[in-house]
Amino acid sequence: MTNRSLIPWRKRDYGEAATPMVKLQREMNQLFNEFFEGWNLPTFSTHDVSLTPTVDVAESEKEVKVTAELPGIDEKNVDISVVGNALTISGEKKEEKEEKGQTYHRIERTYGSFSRTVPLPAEVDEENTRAVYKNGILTITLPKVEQARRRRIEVKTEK
Amino acid sequence: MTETREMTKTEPRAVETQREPLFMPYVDIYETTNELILLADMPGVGEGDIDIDLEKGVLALRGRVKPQDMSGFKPLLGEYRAGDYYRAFTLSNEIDETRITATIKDGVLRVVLPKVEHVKAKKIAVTTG
Repeated sequence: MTNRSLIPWRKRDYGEAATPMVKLQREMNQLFNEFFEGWNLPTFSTHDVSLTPTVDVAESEKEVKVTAELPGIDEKNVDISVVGNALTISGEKKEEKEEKGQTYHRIERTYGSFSRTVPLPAEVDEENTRAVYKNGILTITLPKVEQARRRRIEVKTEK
Repeated sequence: MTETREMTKTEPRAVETQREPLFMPYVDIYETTNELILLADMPGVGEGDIDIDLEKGVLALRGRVKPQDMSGFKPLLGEYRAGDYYRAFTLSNEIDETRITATIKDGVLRVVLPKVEHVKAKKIAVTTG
C-alpha cells in the first residue's frame, strides 16, 4: 500500500468549470498516474487543469462569508469585485523566482492567473465588504443590505 | 530526495485522535547549487501549527488546520474541507540534516535543505604545468 493511496487527495469540485472535457482530462491523468506510480517519475498533474481557487460560502442573518484557498499569493495581486449578486475573485499567483541554474524535481503547485465568480445568496453592501488574507486563506465578509435580511413576520390570531 | 512511499508507522496516541481527514499538500521541489528547496501549499496553516520531524532520514511534514469559527453561519457551498496536511520524504545523505530550516508564509511552507559540503559541485582549476 502506498502513501498516496492512503491519503485522500484533495477532492476539488470545480463547480461550473467541471466541463466534460476537464473531467475527462482529469480521469486520463489519474489513469496515467496510477500506471506510472512507483516508477519514481514526475507525476502527471491532476489538478492544474485550472487554477480556480476552491471556495466556501456561508451566510448568517446579517452577513455572507466567502472563504477561498489561495496559498502563496501577494494580496496586492488579488482583485475582488461585486456586481449585482455575483462576487468575483481574480488575481495572479506568481512563481517564486530564484537563482538561475535550478533543477526542478517536482512541480505540483500551480501558478498563473485565476478568476472565480461565486453567486451570492443575497444582495450585499459592497461599500462595507471586508477582505482579509491570512495563512493562505482569503476571507471576504459581505454585509447584507437591510432589505435582503430575513424578517420574521409575526402572525397574529384574531379573536 | 524521494517521496516516502510506504506509510510511516504512526503509534496510536490516546490523546491525539484523528478526526479530520489528512490531506497531501502539493509540493514543488527544486535544487540550486547549494541546497534543495521544498515548497508545500498548506492553506490555513500558520506559524506554530507546523511540525517537521526528521527521523532516520525521513522528513515528515505535518500542518494542522484550525477550523474557522463559523458559528451563526449556515454553509451554502463547501468546496474544500478543513483537515491536516501530511507528507513525508526520504532524504538522501547529501543533505546536511543539521542545517535544515523552515518558514511558513501565506499558507506556503518553505523548507531549505542545504547540501553537505562535499556534494557541492566544485570547479577544479586546471593549471598548465
